[in-house]
Amino acid sequence: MTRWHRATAATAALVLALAACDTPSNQGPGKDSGPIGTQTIVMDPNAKGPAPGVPGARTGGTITVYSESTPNTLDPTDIYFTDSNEIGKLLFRTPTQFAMRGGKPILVPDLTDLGTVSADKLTWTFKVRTQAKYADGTDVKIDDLAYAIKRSFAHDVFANGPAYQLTYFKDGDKYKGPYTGGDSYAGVETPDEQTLVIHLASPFSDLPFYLSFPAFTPIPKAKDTRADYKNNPMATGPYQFDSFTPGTELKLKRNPHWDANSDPARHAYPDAWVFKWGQDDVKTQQQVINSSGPDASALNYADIDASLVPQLVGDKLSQLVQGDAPCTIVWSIDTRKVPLDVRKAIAKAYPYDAIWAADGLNRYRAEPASTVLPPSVPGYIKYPPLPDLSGQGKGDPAAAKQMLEAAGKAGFEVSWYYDNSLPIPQQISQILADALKAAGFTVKPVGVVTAELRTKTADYDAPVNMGQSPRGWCSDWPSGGSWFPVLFQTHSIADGSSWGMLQDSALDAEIDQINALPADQSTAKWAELDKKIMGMYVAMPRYYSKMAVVVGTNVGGAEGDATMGLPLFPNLFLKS
Amino acid sequence: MLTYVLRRVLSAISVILVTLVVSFGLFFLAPQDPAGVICGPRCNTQRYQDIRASLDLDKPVLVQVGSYLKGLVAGRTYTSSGVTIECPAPCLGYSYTLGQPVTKLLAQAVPVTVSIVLGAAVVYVTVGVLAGTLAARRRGSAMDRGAVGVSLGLSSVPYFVVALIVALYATFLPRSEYHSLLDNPFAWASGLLAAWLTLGFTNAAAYTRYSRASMIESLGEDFVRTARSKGISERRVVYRHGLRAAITPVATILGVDMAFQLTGAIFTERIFGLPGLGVLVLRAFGQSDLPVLMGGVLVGAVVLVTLNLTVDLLYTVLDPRVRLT
Amino acid sequence: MTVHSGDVVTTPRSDGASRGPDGPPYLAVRDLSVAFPTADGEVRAVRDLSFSLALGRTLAIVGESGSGKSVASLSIMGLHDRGSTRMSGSITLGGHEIVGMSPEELRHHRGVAASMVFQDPLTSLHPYFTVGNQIVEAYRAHHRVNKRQARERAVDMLARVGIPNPRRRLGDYPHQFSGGMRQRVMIAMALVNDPKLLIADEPTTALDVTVQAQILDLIRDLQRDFGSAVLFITHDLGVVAEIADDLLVMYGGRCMEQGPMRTILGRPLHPYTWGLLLSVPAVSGETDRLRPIPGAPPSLLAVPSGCPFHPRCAYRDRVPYDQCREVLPDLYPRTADGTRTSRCHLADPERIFTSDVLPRLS
Repeated sequence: MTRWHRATAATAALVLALAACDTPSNQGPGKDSGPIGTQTIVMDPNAKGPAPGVPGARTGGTITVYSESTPNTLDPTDIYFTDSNEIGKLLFRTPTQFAMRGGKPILVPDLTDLGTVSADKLTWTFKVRTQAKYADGTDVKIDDLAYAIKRSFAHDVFANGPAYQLTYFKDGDKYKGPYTGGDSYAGVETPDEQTLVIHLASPFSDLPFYLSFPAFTPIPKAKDTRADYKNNPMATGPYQFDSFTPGTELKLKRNPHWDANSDPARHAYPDAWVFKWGQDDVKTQQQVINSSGPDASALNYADIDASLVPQLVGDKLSQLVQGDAPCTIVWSIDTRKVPLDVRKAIAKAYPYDAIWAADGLNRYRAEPASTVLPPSVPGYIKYPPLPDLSGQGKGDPAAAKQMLEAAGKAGFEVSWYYDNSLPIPQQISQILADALKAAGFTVKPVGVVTAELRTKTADYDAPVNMGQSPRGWCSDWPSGGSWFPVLFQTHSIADGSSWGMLQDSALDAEIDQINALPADQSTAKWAELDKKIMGMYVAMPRYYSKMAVVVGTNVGGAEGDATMGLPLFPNLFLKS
Repeated sequence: MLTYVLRRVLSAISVILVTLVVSFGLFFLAPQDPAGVICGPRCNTQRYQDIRASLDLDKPVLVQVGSYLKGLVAGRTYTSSGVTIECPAPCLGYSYTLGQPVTKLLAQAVPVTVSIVLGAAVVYVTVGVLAGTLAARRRGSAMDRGAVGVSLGLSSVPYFVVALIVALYATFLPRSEYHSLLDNPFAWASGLLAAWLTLGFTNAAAYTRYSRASMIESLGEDFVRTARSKGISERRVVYRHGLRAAITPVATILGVDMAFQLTGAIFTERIFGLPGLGVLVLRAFGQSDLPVLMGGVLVGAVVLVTLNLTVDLLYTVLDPRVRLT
Repeated sequence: MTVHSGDVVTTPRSDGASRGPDGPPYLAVRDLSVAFPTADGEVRAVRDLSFSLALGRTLAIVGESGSGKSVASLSIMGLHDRGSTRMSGSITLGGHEIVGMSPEELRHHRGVAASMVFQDPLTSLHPYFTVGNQIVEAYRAHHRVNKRQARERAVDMLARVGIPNPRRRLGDYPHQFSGGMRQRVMIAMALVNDPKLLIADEPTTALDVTVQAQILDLIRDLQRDFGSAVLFITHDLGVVAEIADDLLVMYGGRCMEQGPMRTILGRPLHPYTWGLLLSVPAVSGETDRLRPIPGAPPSLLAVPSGCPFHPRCAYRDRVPYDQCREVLPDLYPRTADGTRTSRCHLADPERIFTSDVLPRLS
């Protein structure tokens, strides 16, 4: 899953354009949360509602949520970004869902059980566990669950939504969704009101995790208003739409037909939610820290800006909520254009520390990376970093130059796109260019404006050989299965989500093999694969992101949702 | 008088038409491929072609302008992969990044900006004119010098600094947010109060100076001397005779100033969290949301032209000599 | 004059013998001096000016621009800014002392005891209010009447000054009148409260000659009907001849010659007055060059010593011991009853006039 909106928002403190430089030695006054804890997958197939209460919680009040970046859509089929996904947890019940127990996410049954798979691993059967209702009082039907799955194949219409089903589900490459392809789709079957059957084209052991996505919330075909659905989607969760001003504000009110007793994952403590988008993050974070008046019951879900960290002393420190985010940020190299020895030289010269400082990072928001998987994803093993791939260090241009010359590639041209309309990306690009030039490379950075950056870096046919997107990756669910098959197979290039543009059929096969294994067996193998791929020097690992947000003094129950890297909304309450 | 009004209205319409054509040119002159931007980063060829076709991008420019104008009057439909999106008249395009018709986004945003600008205008014109008049009457006194000094000082501080300080620390003011005037006039006014006061007092400085200068000149006019010679009260001389004449140049300045106020609204909207035209266009600019940009430019032009037209017509009310021309 | 029943009616004060001196003068100015302190020094606009004016009589004050005549008239109305004017001497209007009067009392007097008609009616009337509005305002400032009654009075006044269709024209703006009509409106406004003194500051200067004649006739008629005193400021001797009973010639802030108009114009006894008469071009006769007084009026910041006119006077050398430059001449009476005075050191101005000036006048 990509978090571009976050990466660029972090550099856009429009009004107070003061980016505090924060080197790794310059910590904030409080303690950062320390190294990220390793997650182990836990599933609880027998979990039942109601969800265990949050200590100290009380019902009532309206929570205000500020954010500068605006979710582009709340149509469940089109949701992919973390912020809309987290909001979706308040609105949409799905077949399975993550609950937080002891700070760790655990997959629990929501509308259906966690599923059973056939011997050939190509047929999954899910049993409906509870008769849920929509906010308008009508019942959720099994056909609605099936319709939602079919709708997710209309990827031309819902281009932003997740695409795993196109790859894994039967006929995923042929069926184009109910608008053009009609209602008959071989990949989904509903033999009776309690049973949902999914047929796969290839084994997908993580399917139960995938079904926690909002794309699988039930949608009645009769209520599918297509392009207009996003303006008032059917709610099965604890809350429903109250009013919606696209791009600006969303108000949620209680869904009277949500049954807490059947929901092991969610609570509904506040009476209402107000999301306010588009306001400057630094300003709203300052308001939340000040917590005066209604801002005491508010929070901002962007990572705290470096310039505000010094204020978090004494009482204010308790307003900081830290947690894990399942993301690794990297700088990738196009292996089709750059041979291995040159890639090693690039890694040798790469100035990790200088770029960390220029990016305004601090230990609240980030930790230097050295692997593909971040520590919060099962499969992560803290192996000793490979040479020059530790996420830290000043870079050694002289040594790199020697390596380059030894390989006979002195003067090798390297090029990348950077955002030349914002100060921080300009600075970072300059630092990189200087380091690589000192190492004997010919550097050709290309500046483009913010709006163009995404398009350019996503174009794998563009004439650059470094820094293409995605410049990072976040788990779609906590398993290597949402990383390696997505990023390192040949089809990743066509999908536009490749780190390094690997086109190795042997590697493809190896990944497929591991992916077919059940979770307990695949975890260890992902770990080995992680080291192998890092050894190919496809990307410079920069950092793992961490969540560090501020909440108002009246907000309680705040903890990180490790699957999203955001505060877990369904647990929040107001203290008074 | 009627011909005067008609002439002004026709001139306003022609300005809007020109703006329309020019803003349409944005679509072509922009350094991006509009379909590529709309399609997004995970674009496949089919969707890209669909978007090109639905926006008539492969047709000649004149046809495209024609469809756009037709859409303004009669509405338009966009199709993409079997889904039809209706865009009722006046159709200003469709924002693919937010998935909403541009007209709807603008209809939400424009009342906010207009509320901010007009409310602030009431504050700064009132405060400015009163302060300027008092200063003019007591010209050369400590009060006059004080008023000029304070206004110069206030003008020197960058507006956004003042606004930010107010937004963060003037917490005794009601929380800044937008409620529709029609729903709840009281909430509308209290939610905009902080913005009105900030914009009002920072701009009042300039209007104090204009009013003061205009009043000094006006109080030196012959008809003020005549008024005094009639034996009417000094207050009546200053306000009824002097101020009435001094207002006209201030009204002209107000009309021109409105353009700057509209653009300056971006700061206010962003700092006070008000979802107006400024932040809408800003977001669209950052996301290359060309239809919203075009729509925003057009609406901005319409609002500006309307405001200026109103001031022009106000002129005929203010100055009877104008009516006959 | 139209009279409407139930209206406020004013009876014209016809004194009958309106041309003769009647009792104590209505306006008495004694040793009036007006100075304005400026950054460059003190501008001494009026120095030791004295004159009096009775009801029913017209006094013309003549002088070039910068002679102080307008300043003097504004002083009578109390229209100078108290903060930036130094006034000394005495002005009594109907028995009340104007110099040093409080602003509130002055307000009562303005428009009632004395009112003023200004030179340019286009700039002197407020362009944004109808003439009816302005006249009504003048009336209601001093009378507690309702709007309707005030409007009737305004219609009355407009009719009186000879404006056709007065009721309709109440709603017109000043710019909708011709120059002459506008001045009539101004006069109507000035007279609406029956002031005993009308000050006319160059009321015809901005008008053409034919209209000028009409306005002068109007003023004369109104004065006859109301019996008011008229103080007429002008630089035009032709106008003086038409309208004035008495004449006062000012130069450099001071009175140079004063007395009945006919005698002064018939037999002037001051070199400045001679210069004024000589400078009037003859309509008939030779088309000679104009004969202006050589030199220019003095700056009121630095008035010449002695006689203010001495730098331009052709007869200076006829006065012994350079007196003109050293000593300010008094206003010497030139008739036995003292009604004629002139400020000049010349011992025998009459002879000089007869021999030197008179031939050149014909």
